[in-house]
Amino acid sequence: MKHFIIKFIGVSLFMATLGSCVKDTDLDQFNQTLLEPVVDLNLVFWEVEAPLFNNTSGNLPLGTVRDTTEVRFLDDPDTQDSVVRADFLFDFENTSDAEYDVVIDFVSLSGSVTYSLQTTISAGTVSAPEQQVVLQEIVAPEVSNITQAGLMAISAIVQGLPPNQGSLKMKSKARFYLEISGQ
Amino acid sequence: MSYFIRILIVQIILVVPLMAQNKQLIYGLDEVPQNLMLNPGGIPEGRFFIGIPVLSGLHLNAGSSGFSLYDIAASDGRLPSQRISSLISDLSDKDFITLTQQLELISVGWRKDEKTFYTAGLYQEFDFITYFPKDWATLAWYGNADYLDYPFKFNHISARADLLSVFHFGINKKIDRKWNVGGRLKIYNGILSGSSLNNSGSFTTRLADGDSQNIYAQDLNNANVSAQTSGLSRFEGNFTSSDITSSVLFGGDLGLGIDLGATYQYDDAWRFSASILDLGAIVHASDVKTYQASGDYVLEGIELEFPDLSQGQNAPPYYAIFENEVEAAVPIDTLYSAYTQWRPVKFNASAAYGFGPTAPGSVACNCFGKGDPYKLESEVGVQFYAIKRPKAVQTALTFFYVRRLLRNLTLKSTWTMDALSYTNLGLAVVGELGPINVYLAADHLLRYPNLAKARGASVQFGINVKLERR
Repeated sequence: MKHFIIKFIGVSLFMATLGSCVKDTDLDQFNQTLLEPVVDLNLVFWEVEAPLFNNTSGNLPLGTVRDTTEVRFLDDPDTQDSVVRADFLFDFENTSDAEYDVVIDFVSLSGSVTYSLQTTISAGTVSAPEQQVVLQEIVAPEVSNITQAGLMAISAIVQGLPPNQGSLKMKSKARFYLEISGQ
Repeated sequence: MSYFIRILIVQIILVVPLMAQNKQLIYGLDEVPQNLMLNPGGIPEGRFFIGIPVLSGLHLNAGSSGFSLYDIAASDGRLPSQRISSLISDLSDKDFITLTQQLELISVGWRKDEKTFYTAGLYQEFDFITYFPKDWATLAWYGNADYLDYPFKFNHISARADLLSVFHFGINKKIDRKWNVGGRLKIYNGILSGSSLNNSGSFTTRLADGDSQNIYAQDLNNANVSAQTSGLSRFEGNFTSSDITSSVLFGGDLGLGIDLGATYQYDDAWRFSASILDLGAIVHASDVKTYQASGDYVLEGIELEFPDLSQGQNAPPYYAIFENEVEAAVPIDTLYSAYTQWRPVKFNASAAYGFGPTAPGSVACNCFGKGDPYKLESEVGVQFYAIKRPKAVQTALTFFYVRRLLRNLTLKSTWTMDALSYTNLGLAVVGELGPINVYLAADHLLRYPNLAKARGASVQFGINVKLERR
């Protein structure tokens, strides 16, 4: 009897150790897994005082300002692969008595405009600023135009005579919807 | 980008906890010579043993405190993303995954006289632990859009891996009929080490409140994040088997440690023991790199200045200026100075009560109470185990039953409760065929029909040549 118990336990332990198995699992399913984070980032911000629109010393016409910055994370290959939607929020505050056309261009490093957004900002006053929010939702396939860009160029053009006081301000953020494949 | 998802999954899988170095099945089991490695003040049997090189002691252990492989990879029709979401929600930054492997290369013990027993040897060890980086897994999985005002904390990043070999020499001394004490000197040879510990600070996205000129204040607050490595370059390029040999022998970073232990035999039935292991440290001095980033920064975005440019002039390099600002505020330094790491110290204690007739092969009676306490056929008892880990001391409580069935066959069964499981059953079998001593031990046996559902698994195996006392 004792020998039987010993053999039984020994064989059971041996089998349990060597014969154990991993069942009912499928690691390949992770190839189909998608990470879908939604990432909010500050973008650009600026404030242009009224006198700058009256400046004629540069190469721009009176009443026009323009500036450009690199946004290298946009055309990063990882971003290009994973961004499926991009929401841009531009928050304007106008304390001048002039109306502006604002053009926001997304530009590739080779210089071509891949996506353009235009809006008109109504006039305000120092005591009663004009607040305006522009929300642009860009989904696939159009969003690829955004991720081709490595530059953002922003122009503000006064409609009519340049103002003498006040300023035009802009804040902005981007919300990127990503899909990152497990494959 | 699949890199990120793999990192996340690996982190999740690896953060499964186990009391990775608990060897509850071997502790206190006098029949196994390797018992002395767990308590240098144990009761040595025989006059001599030598482990079969590479086969005398193999220990593998893997585990996770918060989930099993089945929890994340079950083929039950649920979407893996649902399971990962549940896990991220359920796990905490205290959940962890451990992986431990030990391999005895040389193991020998010999009796000097009736009261003194020496042990010596060399073993190789790999020990890894990572805590679940809950905040960063959340950020990677969900993003920050729904987590405004939530500080993603850097202290959730905590991991350590060590590959080392250990030369050791121990002395076991029988003080009197009741007391056995022992100590072991260890020389650590650190082959490879990497860790990211004691990180602090946070990253928060919140609506600007006067501290940012843009919509958000994206705040890197008191960030202090570091990663230390040593020995990495040894594994770069063509790594040959001779490199492994020279790595295992001296050539790495040296350290010193001790093990201490004692056994108190109250009477023929009751026995108490305790040991403290790996009280020591390794000084990582060669091939050392410490990557460190620290600082504060509020990320506002890029501020445009609309400068008055002439024809042909370029706009200022805002993006490069922005990058430089970030790098200046949160510099990433690479340091090459030596650093010291304490070994994860372990503590064992047990109380055992023997009963029944004398064990087969033992003297029938210790009638005058003057000789060695005699061994009884059965023992029950309780063991306590603790190990110092980066974030906390991990503990385990084990109830055991030892049965000496024949002169040359001993079984030990255990029921262990720890952070991984309250139902961890284990079994060890020790057999002796002439001078050949063989042991096999495994725990989490209830999960063996499907190891995917186990939060841990541990196997120990060894063969020794053991000579009885004359």
